[in-house]
Amino acid sequence: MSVTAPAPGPDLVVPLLHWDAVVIVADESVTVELADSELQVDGLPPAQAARLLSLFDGAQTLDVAARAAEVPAQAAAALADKLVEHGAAVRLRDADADISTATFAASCRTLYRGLRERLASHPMWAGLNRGELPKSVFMGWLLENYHFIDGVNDRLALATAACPDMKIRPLFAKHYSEEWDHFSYFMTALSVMGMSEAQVLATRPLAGTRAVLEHMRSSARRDPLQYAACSGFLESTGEDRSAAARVFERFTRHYASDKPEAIKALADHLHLDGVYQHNSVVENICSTIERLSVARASAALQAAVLLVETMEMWSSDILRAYSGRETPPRAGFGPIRPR
Amino acid sequence: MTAEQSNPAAQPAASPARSPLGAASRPLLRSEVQLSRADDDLIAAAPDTEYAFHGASAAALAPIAHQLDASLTVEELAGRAGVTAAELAATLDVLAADGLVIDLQEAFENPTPARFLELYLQVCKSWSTEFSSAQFWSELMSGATPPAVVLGWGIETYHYVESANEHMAASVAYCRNDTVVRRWFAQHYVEEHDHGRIFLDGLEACGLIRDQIRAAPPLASTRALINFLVELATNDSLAYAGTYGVMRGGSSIESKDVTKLCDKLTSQYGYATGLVEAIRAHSAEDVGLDHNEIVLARWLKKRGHVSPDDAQRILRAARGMADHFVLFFEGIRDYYGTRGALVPRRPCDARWLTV
Repeated sequence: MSVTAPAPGPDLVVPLLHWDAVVIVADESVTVELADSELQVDGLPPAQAARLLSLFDGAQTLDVAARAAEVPAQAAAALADKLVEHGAAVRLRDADADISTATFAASCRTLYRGLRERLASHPMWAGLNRGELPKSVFMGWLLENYHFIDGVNDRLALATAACPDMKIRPLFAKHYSEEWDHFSYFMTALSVMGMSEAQVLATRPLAGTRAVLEHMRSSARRDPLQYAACSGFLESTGEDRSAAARVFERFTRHYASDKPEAIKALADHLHLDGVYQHNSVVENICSTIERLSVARASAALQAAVLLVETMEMWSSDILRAYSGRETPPRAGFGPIRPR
Repeated sequence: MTAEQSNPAAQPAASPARSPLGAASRPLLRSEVQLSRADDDLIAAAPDTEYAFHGASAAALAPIAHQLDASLTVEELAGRAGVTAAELAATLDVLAADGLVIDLQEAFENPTPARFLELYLQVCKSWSTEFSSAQFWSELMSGATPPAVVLGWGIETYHYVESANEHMAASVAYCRNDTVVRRWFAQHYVEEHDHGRIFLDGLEACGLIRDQIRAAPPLASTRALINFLVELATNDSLAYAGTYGVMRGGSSIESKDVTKLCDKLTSQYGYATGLVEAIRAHSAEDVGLDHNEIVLARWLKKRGHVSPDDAQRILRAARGMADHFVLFFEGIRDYYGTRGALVPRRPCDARWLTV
């Protein structure tokens, strides 16, 4: 992705609605919803207001957007002001500025928090946490996670091999050397739950599982910073140790009360990641970068957001593929959805 | 008789040169068949007919109903079901005789290219029903699909068509051991490289902004489909060629079918006429370029053999393609069907961090 906005002069106002803002168009009103607040758009017919908001894309000046949406310039300016005041939009003046790597790393940290909450609210996670889903979904989740964790050999090895920056490559190489065999924790858990190694190895991962790995491979090929932004999100999911411990305690209670060693293997894995301090991957890599352009930073943020969207899709895939399935492991050429 | 058919007249066409299933057969249940239990019976529901298995045959099928995926032989399945291979083969043969169970064993026994392609196209046609029968299509054809989903479908289709410049370009660049095949890939790529423009024009005619469509990040499911193709094109040219049977639904595209579809969509979604015309134009271009003859068919004929490993790679790729198309259509409904979905989606923009 590239940012194609023109560099506006200081007197030109280019509004940019936040990428996360949700615009709800009803019969008689338009509402802009943000993560923690919402904003009513008054004084404009809904269709015109929606059109104007769609043009606050960081590429059109306020005047151009107002004309295209057939909204009076003054009303368009008032809406832009209101959005900026509520933190839903910004006015761009210096589109070509670089971003400090410290700002980027801090922004990733903030972004990850919201993305983690979003992912945790997915019906698969919520259902597993409450014990409302059948055991087949839990087993499916465990099996697909085995494939995902083993996939470090697909993603981090490629990130290392494809990295052109000799200051970053050793960081990836070290990270890889500490992670390459973590599949064994999940193999142990699966074995405790009754699946033999041969059975596990004969299974075909879901398309959603492959999709997460292939997104990271794609990011690795494009830019080490894109890969780091994705990796940073993954590592951040273990940030809150007490929350993770509560999840494991619930999994044990709901799905493995007679085989707690299975979940203990997962807890051991999380503990090891904590020892290695992999959660600081973005900060570590940013510390090696001198200049960071807006376009490069945008693409890295996009890669992280797309990773989380891919993980949401993966969660839906697990839920749909393993709900009601009599025998979870998928092998051969069977359909992606249970018959 | 251990199985009854509800509509014996409505039988799907069986493969012409079929041998009865045996202990070494690898049965693959066609995707169109739904298995379910009704008391002690096992029901196999095909599109036009229903088979009810009773007594011993139901008891033999029930434990292995979800394993008819060609990963196990009849003998192995029979061991799991606690019956003899001959008994299970006879039970499954009722479905196989009507083309509802395909024996994939032959695909792994060095078949002739012509026979392999016959089996391959048969399974591709079956697997393609998994996405052609998706809820997305039934809603679309009923006229009930909301505008965000219709236009979102157009945008994601644009991304997919435009991705020819990723996966097809890669298929040329990474096909380094056979210059003839590389020329076939190259010719196909050159013919497709600017077809994204057709969809951009169509979506612009629907009132969307060209640059916003280009900048919109594809859905995760669309990106997964593109990445899947890129990975195959980069790592395994033969497997990559194996995806095209599923793209074509196992058969050639009839232009009259496209015309019928487009006419119906135009009447139901007047605001999306530009998009529908893009579909029509794109289909006409593909038919004109004779893309219905896939590279895989030419390649296998040229090689003159299909090894078990070739068969495995080709069929796995085709199966993966069907999986990703299922995700593609689910993804469109999941995202664009949500209240307030952005059409087109808005990209992340780090200029937010600079002010």
